[in-house]
Amino acid sequence: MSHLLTSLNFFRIFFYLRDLAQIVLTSVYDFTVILFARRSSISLLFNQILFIGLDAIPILTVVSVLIGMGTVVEAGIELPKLGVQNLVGPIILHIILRIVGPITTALIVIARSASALAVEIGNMRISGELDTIEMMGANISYFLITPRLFGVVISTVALSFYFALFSFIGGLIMEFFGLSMPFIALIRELETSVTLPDLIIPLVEGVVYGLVIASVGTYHGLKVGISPTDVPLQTTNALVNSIVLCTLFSTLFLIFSSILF
Amino acid sequence: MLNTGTSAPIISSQEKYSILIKDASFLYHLEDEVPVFRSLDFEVKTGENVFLLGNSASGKSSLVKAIMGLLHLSSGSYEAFEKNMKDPSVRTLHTIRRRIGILPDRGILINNLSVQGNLAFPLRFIAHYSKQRSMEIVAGILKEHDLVSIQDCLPFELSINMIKTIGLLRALLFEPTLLILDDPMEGLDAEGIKFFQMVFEQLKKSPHTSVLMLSSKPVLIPGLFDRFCEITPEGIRSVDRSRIEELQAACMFYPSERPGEYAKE
Repeated sequence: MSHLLTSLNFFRIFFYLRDLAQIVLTSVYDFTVILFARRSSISLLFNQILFIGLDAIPILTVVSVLIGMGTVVEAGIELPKLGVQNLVGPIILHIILRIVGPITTALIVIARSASALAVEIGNMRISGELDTIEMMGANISYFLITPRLFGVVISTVALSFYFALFSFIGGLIMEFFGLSMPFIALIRELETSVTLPDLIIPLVEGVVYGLVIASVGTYHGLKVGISPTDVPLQTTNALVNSIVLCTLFSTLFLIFSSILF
Repeated sequence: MLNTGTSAPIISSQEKYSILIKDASFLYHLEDEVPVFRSLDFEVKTGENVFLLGNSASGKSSLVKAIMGLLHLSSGSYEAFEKNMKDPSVRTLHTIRRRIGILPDRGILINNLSVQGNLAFPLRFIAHYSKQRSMEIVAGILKEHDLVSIQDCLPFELSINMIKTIGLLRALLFEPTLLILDDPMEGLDAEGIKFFQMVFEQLKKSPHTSVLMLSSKPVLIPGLFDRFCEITPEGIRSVDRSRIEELQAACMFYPSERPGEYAKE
């Protein structure tokens, strides 16, 4: 009996993913409505991009520069020892653009925005604001969910590329300490190694991570019932589930991008 | 009515009832087994002002949610402005909600918007007015009611009195066909009561707006209500005005016919 219950519990994940997909699809549809008919909500989208994207820049700059320094030093010193110094450029690009950049950006967005989304929407549920907005006749998707979802997606994509750029800058800084390849050589290595998939994959990863983070944060915010104790509980769930799902998608991207490209 | 500058509601002369609930059961969620209300009968005729008395946790706010279409109608019938509210479409809900002005229990403003933003919210996101037009209307309302000084305040900076005042102004923005006031007098100070009295006086002169006032305390507003009801575990039943008067007298801490009797020398 317990095995049956455990296996039934396992299937709950599919209902969970279905609900997340529903949030994403509804928001995509509502986004087209906002663009063409409800333009008053566009300003809310810009506000979200400012909060999620622009406000994350200081922390992301520090993290990206540090990771870039570490990666370039490691690659610049260790790879020549193995006799593959001609692969320094492609390996740095691969690590920063495809692997470390998008997932680290996603983790920073999760820490800042998945929790903020769950807490904000959850508190609005507790205080009765969501019911009031609905009772007034406003669609909470136009006002609340869609601007946040697309704000997270646009910000995550932009921040992924920002992360890569500042990682390379971090790497170049190490050249001044003599811990990396010469400045010009490194630039030339990066320039000649970059391919189209190196630009497309972070873009797709950013979109998927953004959709996961926003839909999970929104889902758990809306899941808050009438008790204020639900808010911290759902916030924790939002953080944990966002991290798990983003890591899952990261692994899938690594597998499929290695096979396909 | 308040001069908000917004368009007046479209009222069909054919409509006999604003709200007509017959033998209805409502559920919070579709999967719930126990309904919030069972075999509920309630009506508000067009132009009629109804006072509904109910104790705390008697289901007043749930009734408001049911009227506004937030609860699921599982059996019986419910018509709002003669539109069937059994699984209503988004368009029907929008039309119905646009015609109802609501002051929820505790006022409930949007916490991350200022007073100005809260008043502009329905204009911008429900009526889809431009930002400039919305702000012009809001500025007019704030000036008319001498509230310009608090226009940039966030709700947490306001007293419950002020929150309810702003909530009432928001409810009256579109000159509603039905105005629902959920425990409006709770927590008001003398200034707030004066403001609400002023609004009630204006509502008396407005034949097109029905008022449904739900209250946990018996509050008699002279000349406003056409009908009195009481919400009980068995359902909603009509009561005489005398019953409300009787309850009002019983609710006073120290009822006295001689003012000043308890004043100290």
